Amino acid sequence: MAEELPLTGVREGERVVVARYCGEAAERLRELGLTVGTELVVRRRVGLGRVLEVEFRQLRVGMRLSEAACIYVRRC
Amino acid sequence: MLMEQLQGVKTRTVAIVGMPNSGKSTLFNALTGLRQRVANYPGVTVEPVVGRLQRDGQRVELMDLPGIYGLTPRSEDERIALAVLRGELPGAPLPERLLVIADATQLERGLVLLSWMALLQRPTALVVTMVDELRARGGMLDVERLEQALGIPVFTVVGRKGIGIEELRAALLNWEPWGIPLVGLPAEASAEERYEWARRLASQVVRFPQPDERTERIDRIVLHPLLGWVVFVLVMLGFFQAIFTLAQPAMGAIEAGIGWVQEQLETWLPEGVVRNFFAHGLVGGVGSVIVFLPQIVLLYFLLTLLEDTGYFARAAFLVDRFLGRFGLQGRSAFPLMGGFACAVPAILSTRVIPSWQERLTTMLIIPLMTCSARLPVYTLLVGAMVPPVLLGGVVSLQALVMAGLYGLGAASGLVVAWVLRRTVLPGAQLPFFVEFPPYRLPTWRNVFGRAWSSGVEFLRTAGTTILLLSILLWALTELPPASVPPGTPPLEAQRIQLEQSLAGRLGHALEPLFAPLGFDWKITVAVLGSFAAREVFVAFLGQLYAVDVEAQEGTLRQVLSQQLSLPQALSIAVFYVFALQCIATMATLRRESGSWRWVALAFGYTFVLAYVGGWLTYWLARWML
Repeated sequence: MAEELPLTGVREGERVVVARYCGEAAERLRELGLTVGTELVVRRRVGLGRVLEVEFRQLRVGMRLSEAACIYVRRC
Repeated sequence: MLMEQLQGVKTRTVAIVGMPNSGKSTLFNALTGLRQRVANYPGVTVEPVVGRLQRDGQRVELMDLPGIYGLTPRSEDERIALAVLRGELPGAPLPERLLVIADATQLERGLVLLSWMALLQRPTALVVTMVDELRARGGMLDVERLEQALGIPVFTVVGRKGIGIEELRAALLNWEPWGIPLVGLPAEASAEERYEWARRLASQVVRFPQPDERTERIDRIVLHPLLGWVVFVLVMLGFFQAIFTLAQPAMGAIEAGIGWVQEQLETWLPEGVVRNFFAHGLVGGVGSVIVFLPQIVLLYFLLTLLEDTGYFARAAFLVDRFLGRFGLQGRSAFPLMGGFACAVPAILSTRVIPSWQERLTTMLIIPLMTCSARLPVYTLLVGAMVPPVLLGGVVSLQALVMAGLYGLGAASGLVVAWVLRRTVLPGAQLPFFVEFPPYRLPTWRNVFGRAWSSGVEFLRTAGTTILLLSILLWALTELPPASVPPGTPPLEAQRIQLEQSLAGRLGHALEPLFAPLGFDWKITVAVLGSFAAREVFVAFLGQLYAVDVEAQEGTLRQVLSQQLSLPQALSIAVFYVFALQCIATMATLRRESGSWRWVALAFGYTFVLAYVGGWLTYWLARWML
């Protein structure tokens, strides 16, 4: 089983799978389709690296690093 | 209701439900055209828009609700949308049927929303939008198979091109029987289970599209660490420039038109209070309402354009970190920018901010952005009092003082936002996500439609309050009519009137209150009189100093430079940086915040800042100079 790491530690272009969440942001992200087990790609870091653009289920979403820190992922 | 039954017309209500960015509003506009109105329900600040479809005795009302993701609300908009769907919003009809919108390029998410809506047990149809985009990117949709699987009608439309709209409109008017979606999930199914169901169904009926090449190319520049900022600054400058300059001709024309009507009234009516009321109270008041229209329509036009093309989301994302520090969010940037032109359209445009706390905070600090009405005041004071020297031979001192006044307003706005979010408007910042829609050409129907309806709505709501307050203010400066000896020059007559009016007497009475700021009674009267609109300050000073201006055969600027001291001028300027001297802003704030309480808070805090700021400036300037 691959090791879990926060989304903030993922490099650009890397493909990962959502493992678990912490915090409140999780609920809205799950409604958006970023459910546990969803594959996602970190597309780029924007705004001096402080925000992330991720892609999942044909959707692109920008999020703050504080939100990304609460999403734990596994490399696949 | 009875009349309608007698005529055989029954109004049925259908709610349009979709996730944000699903093409909901484009579809709604295509279906209903301009036959729309904003539904007002008591105590609600985010109103559903209602449009009507009608044909030979059939009538269907469509309700465009704010975007939702499921049945758990997280923002004010979502709370209202869900309350309407459940029939829990007082005064709003319970929608008999649902029209669920799904974006063809993201069918899974649309299906998940449908699975939530199935719990409401209402006859439903699914509308799949952006099928043209799906095809252009190599995707495909099997509509029949989707209909069979769900047991409800599925319509495919391209809202921007009007494709499929007629069929949908006919289906709505014919009131064809619709089923309740067959989802086959237990009511308590989790988001994971719903997405798994949607993924499986979607993979059977849709060939997924390739990534959009054009969006990839544009984003490589727009979201580039360096070029992204260049684009952002250019767009902001263009936005700023446009709201400042493009509305000017229309505003000038409105002012000229109002002036012409006033002249006609003055020619045809006998002199007296009645004439004065019609010309200056009523017509002047109407003028003070419609003069805002060009900027409101323009600001909405530009914002819708930015939103529809997909840039708005990226720009909000770029500045989110900076504004986030002050308890605001990325989407606040454009309304704040709009505040530099005029607070009224800017406050209206805060509707682009989904979180209520952040939206209200943005509304409350917009009056601190230096609007164009302060410009005549600054120009007069700075022009009269600050010496026209060049510092180091390059930088004009006058320009520097002007820039300082702009900067002071903006900076204190951010500080106030920070304080508000930690005191009266706390609440964790909503998780900030922006969806990046693919770049698209704007739908002109949408852009013009929203600009138009925002203008109409302003006239119907805030407009009436502004008109009433303008008339009240007219009464304060024109009543009671003063007795002017015959043969008095007109300007001198106006001065006597102003001095003996209620406002004039109030100014005299309040002089001690404003004395610490260095204001004499003339300035106090001009400040009070300009409560309707800041630029009136210049006109009132003109009346109050009319005698001196005539005696010296000079200009108001020359007279002021002799009669005022530099500390006094700076203190007035700083007072105007902060003071909420604008009834139109207050009326709009009341309308958009839903309560006079917030207006009182905005007026209170800006007045304290203005008073303390003016006093400190006066005191410091006298000590230093």
